[in-house]
Amino acid sequence: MPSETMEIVVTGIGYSSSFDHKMVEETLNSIRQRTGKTRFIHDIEKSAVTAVSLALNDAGITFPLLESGRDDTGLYMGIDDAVEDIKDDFFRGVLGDGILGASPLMFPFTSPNAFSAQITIVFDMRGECILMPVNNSFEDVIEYAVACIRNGYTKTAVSGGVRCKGNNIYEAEFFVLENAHAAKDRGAKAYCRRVY
Amino acid sequence: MKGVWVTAIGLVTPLRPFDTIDAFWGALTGGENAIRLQPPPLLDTDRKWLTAAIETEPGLRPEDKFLYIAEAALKMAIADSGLSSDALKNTGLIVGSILGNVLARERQLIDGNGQARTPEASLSYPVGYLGQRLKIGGQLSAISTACASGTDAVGIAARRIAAGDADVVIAGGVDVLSDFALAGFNMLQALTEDMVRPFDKKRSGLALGEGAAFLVLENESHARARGAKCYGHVLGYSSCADASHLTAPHREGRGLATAITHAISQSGLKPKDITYINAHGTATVYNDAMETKAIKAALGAAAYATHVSSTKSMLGHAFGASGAIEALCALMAMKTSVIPPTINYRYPDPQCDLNYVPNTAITTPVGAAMSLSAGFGGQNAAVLFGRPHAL
Repeated sequence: MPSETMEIVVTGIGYSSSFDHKMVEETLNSIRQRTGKTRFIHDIEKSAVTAVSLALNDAGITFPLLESGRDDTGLYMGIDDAVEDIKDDFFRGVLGDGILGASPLMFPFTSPNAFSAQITIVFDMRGECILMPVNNSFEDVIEYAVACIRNGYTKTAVSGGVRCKGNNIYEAEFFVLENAHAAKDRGAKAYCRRVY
Repeated sequence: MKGVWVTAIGLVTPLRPFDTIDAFWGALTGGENAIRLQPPPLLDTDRKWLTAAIETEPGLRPEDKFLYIAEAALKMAIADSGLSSDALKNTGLIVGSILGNVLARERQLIDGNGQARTPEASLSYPVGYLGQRLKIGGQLSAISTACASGTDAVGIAARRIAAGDADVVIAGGVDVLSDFALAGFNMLQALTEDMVRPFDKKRSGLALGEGAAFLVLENESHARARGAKCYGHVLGYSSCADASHLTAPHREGRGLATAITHAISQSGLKPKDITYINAHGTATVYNDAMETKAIKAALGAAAYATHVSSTKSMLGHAFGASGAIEALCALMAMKTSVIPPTINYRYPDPQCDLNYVPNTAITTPVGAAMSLSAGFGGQNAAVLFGRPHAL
């Protein structure tokens, strides 16, 4: 149990919608150095990576280049039933063409943590990585992220999620959360704070 | 991590049905193999696969199996706990799963009724269903971190209790065999057509399985006050991302090594104190080599004195349930002082040079035991248990 009061602050916010195709492509283009080896298959991952990129940028967090990643930043992500469309498409391929109809590109994305994994790969985040399927707000997953900072399991948390808005439109929103002292030490702004 | 007890366990696995955990444990430590050549669950095809399937009651529809085995395992854990219905009202529940009730959705698509998706197929559905069925009234959460789902569910439950956010949380995992997964893993060439031989030089892949397992985790003072039994203490838990590849593990096992190291550091134990590791041990070429490297990186020289076994050699790979099943095995190893074997082990691999408890169980006191999981997307998780003082 935490022995002293801790103040946790939101230092970065990122939002993206696959509806705003231009913004997503521009953001991904701006981090091409990171995404160079990444082959995006689905709008869900594009939206998620875009929102995390915007949140980290807003928080003033710049990650080291690949091969020198950090394990003090955790990713705590929620997702609704957005992944079910991919599962349906994959299984329709199997129904149509037998086992040869199983798409190697699609199969990894039938597991919802593929999207959180893609974020960790792009940003070389080697800390905790937790994905919670939720059909409401992302409150539970953000609460867990806060608890992980409070109890010392991660220094910084990137938390939020992706949801399907219908008609293959996906929106992602992420927040950067950290200990107020750490944020102050690095000169970060704080959108809001919560004391424990 | 202190003050978190595991006070009850329950599971359903492909080993023949058992009324008690002790009977299951006797079969597992006896090396009983549940993996057989079997047809896929729903698709009408001549092809058979090596799988570990649960035999359910005649008349139970395949698409009902997911919730059926989940509920059965959960009821077993609740009965073992002795928790009252009043206590359940304040108990949390965390359910890990990768695919959820995928057979329900498969059935809809096979029957051409794919337009309207039933809520049962949603990954967040099972925890709500189970909570309602068994009147579990605390915080309900779903976890989906690939093959680490069950381990992460247990670890997150332990953290909630250690932080004082809950007194009792039931956590575990459930997944079922599906045509969906067979097609996918076949396409990845991850399935063996021989036998499941974890850590063996001739290992050729995994066999898919299914199952459900739940652990009741409880605040120590709460457990003591009601006279609950203790299977073990949760001493540490960590999740770490490889940040490397969507399907393949990092070749050096960096994420898993970090997870093991973090879990040990939370416990106050030294690597030499860990008697047994229930490995992820899928029997794929890359996993077993990576896992061996990770254990050696985290434990150093003590790795060679630690017993490491893969119960997947008998139970198959139960996806998101595997972490919870294997955590339960780690606890039972401490309780009974018997370490389950890695069966089908014949040919030592220079890349896998630890003590894998080949073919026959070992009887030895187990002071601390760890369960490891690794999954798609570079998910890694480690949970460390300590022996209850009374044993």
